[in-house]
Amino acid sequence: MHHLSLQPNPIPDPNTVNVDQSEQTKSRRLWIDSAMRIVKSKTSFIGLCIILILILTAIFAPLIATHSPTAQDIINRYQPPSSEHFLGTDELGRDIFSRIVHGSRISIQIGVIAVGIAMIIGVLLGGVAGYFGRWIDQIIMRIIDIMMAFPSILLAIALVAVLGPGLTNAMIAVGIVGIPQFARIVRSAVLSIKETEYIEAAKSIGAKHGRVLMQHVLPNCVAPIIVQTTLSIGTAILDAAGLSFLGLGAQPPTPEWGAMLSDGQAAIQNAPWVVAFPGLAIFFVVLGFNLLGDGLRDALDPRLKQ
Amino acid sequence: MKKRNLLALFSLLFAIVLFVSACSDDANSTDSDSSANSTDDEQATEEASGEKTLIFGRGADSIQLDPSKITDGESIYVTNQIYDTLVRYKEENTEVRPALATEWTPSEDGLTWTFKLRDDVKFHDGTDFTAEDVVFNFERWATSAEYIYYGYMFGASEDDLGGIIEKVEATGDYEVKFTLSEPNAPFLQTLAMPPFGIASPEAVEEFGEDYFKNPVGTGPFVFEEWVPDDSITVTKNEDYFGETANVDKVIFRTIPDNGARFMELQSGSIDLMTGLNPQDIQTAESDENLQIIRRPSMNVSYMAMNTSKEGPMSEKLVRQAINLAIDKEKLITLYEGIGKAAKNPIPPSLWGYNDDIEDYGYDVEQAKALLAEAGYADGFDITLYTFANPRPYMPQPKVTAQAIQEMLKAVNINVEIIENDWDTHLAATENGEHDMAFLGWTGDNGDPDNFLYVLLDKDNAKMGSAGNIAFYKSDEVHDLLKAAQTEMDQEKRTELYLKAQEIIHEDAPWFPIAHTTPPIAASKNVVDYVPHPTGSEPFNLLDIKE
Repeated sequence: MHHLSLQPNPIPDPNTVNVDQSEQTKSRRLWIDSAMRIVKSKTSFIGLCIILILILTAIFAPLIATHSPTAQDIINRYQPPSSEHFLGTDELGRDIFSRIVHGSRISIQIGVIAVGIAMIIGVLLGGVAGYFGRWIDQIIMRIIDIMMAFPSILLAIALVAVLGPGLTNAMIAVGIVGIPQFARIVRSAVLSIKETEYIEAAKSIGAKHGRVLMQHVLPNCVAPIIVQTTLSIGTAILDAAGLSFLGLGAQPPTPEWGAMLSDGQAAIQNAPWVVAFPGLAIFFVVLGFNLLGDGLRDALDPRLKQ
Repeated sequence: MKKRNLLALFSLLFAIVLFVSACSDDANSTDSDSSANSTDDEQATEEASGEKTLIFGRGADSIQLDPSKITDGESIYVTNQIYDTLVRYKEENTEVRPALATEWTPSEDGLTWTFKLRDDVKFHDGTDFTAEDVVFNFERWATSAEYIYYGYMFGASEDDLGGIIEKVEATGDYEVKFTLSEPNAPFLQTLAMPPFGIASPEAVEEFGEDYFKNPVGTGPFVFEEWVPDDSITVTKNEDYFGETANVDKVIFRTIPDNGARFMELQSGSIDLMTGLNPQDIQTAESDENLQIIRRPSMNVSYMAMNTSKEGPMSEKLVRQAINLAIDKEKLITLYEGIGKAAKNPIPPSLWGYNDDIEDYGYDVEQAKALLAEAGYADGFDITLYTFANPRPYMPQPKVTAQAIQEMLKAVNINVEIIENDWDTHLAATENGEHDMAFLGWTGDNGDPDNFLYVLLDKDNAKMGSAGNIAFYKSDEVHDLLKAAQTEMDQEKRTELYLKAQEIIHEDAPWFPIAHTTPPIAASKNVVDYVPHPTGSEPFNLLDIKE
């Protein structure tokens, strides 16, 4: 059992409780320590670099791309990689490099929106379940159990089948599928935090449930939430690519990586670059988020503090 | 900790690979593995027992095994094995030969046809085939509009379910007489079409609603089992009146992904496949164990524009503009050499083809001018319905759709592509949900009527069972096509069809795309396989050599 004093001031009312200056310095040092640990750890540093590259690519996509991502040149389809087309051309003669570069924007969009949905709903549900316990906990967690009983991609497919295919709906579906992970992690963190003395103190001075939960309990769950968010982005990108691969996500001509994989598979024996490069793009981005997520998990664990 | 992370990563990778391969295989990867194994086993036992099994791989399952209720090639492939028609086509063309009927005589005025039937035929359920059974089948098809082909070919409608066939009577145990309300030039050709396969009346009555799952005919193969979306098995009919099959069993396996199906062919777990990716033709030709067999061309692929929908598609100028805005020559390159550009609804291999028609050609400026004239200078949004699995006349529907989407962008037409499964696509387009839709047609009887009347006559523009999915309703074309049906002189009929094609060209209900020579890939062990121009054929004549 541990709780992380990431919040500068865990105690609500400065009038009743003295602010310990050294406590603030300590928590600031924890952040710096964590950052240092991430940079020092080779694997998580690689993860961080991959993600930075992804973000920069997405921001400067129009400058980096050498062609329009949707411009077709049917006569020059299935061209192998060359100086004109760095990664070759696809079944409609579109430049694969430019499509992957533009696809990074879609991947980030999927990651942020889908995980955003999962995080907000998951944290609230988990927080409420853990904090109030008893029948509220029972109801929420049994629903979460039901959701977890389905393989995530299957549940996402079912949701898209109901919502209708499309990138937005795919993001919503992937987001919903991610809720249980957040809910469970937050619930278990809340269970340990709510027994601590400062929560008891807050309650004893008459703070309302909502205030205690939102201002004192949840802010102290930030570390596991950050870790889970980072790891989830990778999974979300992968799931959304899977949905697009099945034709349920991004619709043509959107340069989504999973859709590119699916469109290129007809030529896998003759023009393997059409599927290889979008596949590698997915691979590296998911790898990046996973490495960083693992690094963060280690870095934010105070027990590992030297 | 780090090591475990790496391990987790690798398992994630592994899961991706598994997932992707499972998807491309339609979650049948374990299934196909086991069948690959079992084929080896089967081959081992085959040699022992001498049993020959032909495994046929294709992209989609049959919809029904009652041929009178369907129009899709995948259903007909199977029903062709199970049923016989009164007359049949020659092995390599659409010349009519005797089958269940041994001889036939039309009356002078073309209004009555008398058929003499074979007296030595038994249905698969053991009952004898007689003239009464023919009468039963024709009367059954004239009871409801759900017998789609009967309607298409004999002009039946909700109000007149019998169409031009007034009466079918048994004039003896083995003689049947048809009385028509008007002469019908393609009548004999039509009777050889697979939808008019004669079913066992006992079985139809016994199974009722479920008959389509329990087909009983007289054909060279007996229906054995249907596992939906997986396989259909038929076994040799030892008592077949024609040439008894050389193979003992045919298994039609559904493998949706072209690439996966081709890999199964390469690995030997299937013997024959349709729906080859055009990119794989070369690979197959250079493989010493495989051969490419080309089906003679008698088809067309097209993009129909729904003229019945209010808005741009109902405007002739807009439809002409779309014809001008798509670069057909470029589009055809997506057929990778198996297709020729189409300018008419009927293929050039058919008599009555109008070669004097000049195709619209590719002219973006003129297209823009026409759109402006129609009041759509700023363009519009529109849907294009397409299907997931390739068809013989359209090997890459999705890619073709994306190419058209991009080309129409140049004239400010914003296309939304809606991709559906094959049967959903058929239902959606028959109901007229689309603005534009891809579809194609493989000729059934070698008569222009089978293309023009079925696909572009107002009689067949009925919501829910439309063959004419452009919902093109031209009285002028209708009069020409009806006249051609009742005219018995082929030269005069040709004139009428030439004229009809001119009007259709001008009204532009379609953007005709291509006529293809569909490739079939087979193991070199498959011999004597002659693909028929109508798109499928009974498998009793082919053989597998060891």
